[in-house]
Amino acid sequence: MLASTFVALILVFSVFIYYFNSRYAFSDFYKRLEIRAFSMAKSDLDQKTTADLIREFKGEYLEPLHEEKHVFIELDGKDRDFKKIAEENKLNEDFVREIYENGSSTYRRNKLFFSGIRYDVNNKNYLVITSAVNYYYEHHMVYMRNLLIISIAISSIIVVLIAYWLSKRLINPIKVITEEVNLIGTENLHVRLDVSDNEDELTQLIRTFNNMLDRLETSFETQKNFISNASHELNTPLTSIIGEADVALARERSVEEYVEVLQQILKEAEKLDKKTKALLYLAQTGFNGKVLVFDKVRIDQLIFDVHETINRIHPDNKIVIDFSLLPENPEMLKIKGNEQLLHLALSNILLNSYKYSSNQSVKVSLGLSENQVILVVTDSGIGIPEDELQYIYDPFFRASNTRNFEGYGIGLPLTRNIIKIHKGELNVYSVQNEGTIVEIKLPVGKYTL
Amino acid sequence: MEQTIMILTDFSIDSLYLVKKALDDYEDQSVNILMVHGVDVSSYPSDLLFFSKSVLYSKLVSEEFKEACSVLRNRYSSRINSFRFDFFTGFTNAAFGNFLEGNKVDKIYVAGNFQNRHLSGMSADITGFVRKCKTEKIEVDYVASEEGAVSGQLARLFQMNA
Repeated sequence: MLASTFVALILVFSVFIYYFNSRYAFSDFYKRLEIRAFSMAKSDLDQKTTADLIREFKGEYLEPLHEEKHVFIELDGKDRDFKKIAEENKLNEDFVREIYENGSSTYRRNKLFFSGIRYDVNNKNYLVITSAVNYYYEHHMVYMRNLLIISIAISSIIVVLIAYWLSKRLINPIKVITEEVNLIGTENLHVRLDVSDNEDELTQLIRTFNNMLDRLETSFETQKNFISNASHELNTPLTSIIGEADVALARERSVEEYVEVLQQILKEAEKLDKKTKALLYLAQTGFNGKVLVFDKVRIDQLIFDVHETINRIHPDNKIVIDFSLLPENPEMLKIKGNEQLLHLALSNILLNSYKYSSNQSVKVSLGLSENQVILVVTDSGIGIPEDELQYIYDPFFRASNTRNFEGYGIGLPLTRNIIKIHKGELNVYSVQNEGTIVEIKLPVGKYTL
Repeated sequence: MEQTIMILTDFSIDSLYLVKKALDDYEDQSVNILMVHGVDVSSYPSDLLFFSKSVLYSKLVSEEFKEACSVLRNRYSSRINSFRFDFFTGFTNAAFGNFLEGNKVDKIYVAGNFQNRHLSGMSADITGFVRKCKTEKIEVDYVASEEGAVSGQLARLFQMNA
């Protein structure tokens, strides 16, 4: 398709050149013949001294043309038998008439070119006709025609080669990609496309595909892990409840023993309740389309509220609220959000900071940029190992250094879901054994005062 | 009285510490903040022809830095009269003098113990000019906060001990 377009284009181009070049050659040659006719008329018919000069000039400057011939025809009196004249001189009758009527004319018979003029001198009418073979046309045009034909042939070959090369380079890899992608299913998500060495768009496409597969695989894995983790987490307290009850029922026991067993069962059931509630929250915030009431929330007020809540649970906390970068106009701190959810998210983060920093000081800072409320929570706790930072948003994931702390690994994914619902951003920076910085950015509500 | 304070910056959030310091120093005055970064513009005609401060600005300045500046502007909104960025492209002390005069700079805040990073091939060290000029200079030592070990980019702004 591409190749034929190319060839057609070149063909049109060549015909164009050929046509105009030949037209030019024709008109040019006629002009030259005309000049010669004039000079011959001057030199042969004018019986003046200038005639000698022209003759001299012609001999010196005008090269003789190929088969150059001059014919002088004297038109005598009123006899205008052009047919006879034409036959006598082996000319075309129309051509002769035209010379007489228009003063000059041109005419071509195969290779032979004619140019004639009417010349009036001494009350006599002459027709001066010069003829010659157009050597330039004859040779140059043929040469050019051959040249063009060859060049078309060569360019066609090149075009075909290019088309072939392109198809090999472009179409074939796409075919291969299609085939390979078709082979990838849920059962072999680990398969990746081969990346070639050259850095072209196709390689980028393959990379993009591979990246997408990476993400898909991760989310698949997360999903799988989630289910197994969730059932495990829910199963543990259930097993212990069943175990306790079984043991208690094995024989008759004293009231104290029953109370103890029941307390144990209650404790486990409460754990179970906490876990299911957290899971429920996670599920609720994870899905969009759920109707949530968004209202004005003063973020500084929210921080105080959360702080108060934590004070109630852990009165020994060392959470410091740093409002040194608070804007001068606190009205701007209003954001559009759901207060309960934001409260949950922030308390999750602060409780984590409190928990994992073994009650060292935790700093909460608040700032306001043009479009965002920026909340930074800094602690100097145990931190998160660098290679585990990428998993912290997976439900039930717990970093390897959290063995000594109680938790289920639902808080951070939940918090991130909440921040996402508010079109915000959650970033966690951490160095193991040095501390963690949690950065929350929430879009400003733009409430007018 | 209004003060115009020039601050050498490498467009890092750390360099905003100087801004904070300057604003704390002039508690009851409104200030014009002028953040300056030195660049070497080569004398090739093509480089001169296509040199554009706005292009350079968008290349060198990160989103976090802009946001951090915005936080500071909101914090001191009543006292920051203007907050500008400029590039110094000159090669001589006289040019730097003219630059200071043209911008009506009253004071220069210089980082005492931390160096400006070279951001791109074009960045130039202009502390030499600052040292030689006659404008009042205030050297500030950057005090890294205790939590300095861990650092998110924007979080650094909040770690500064003013």
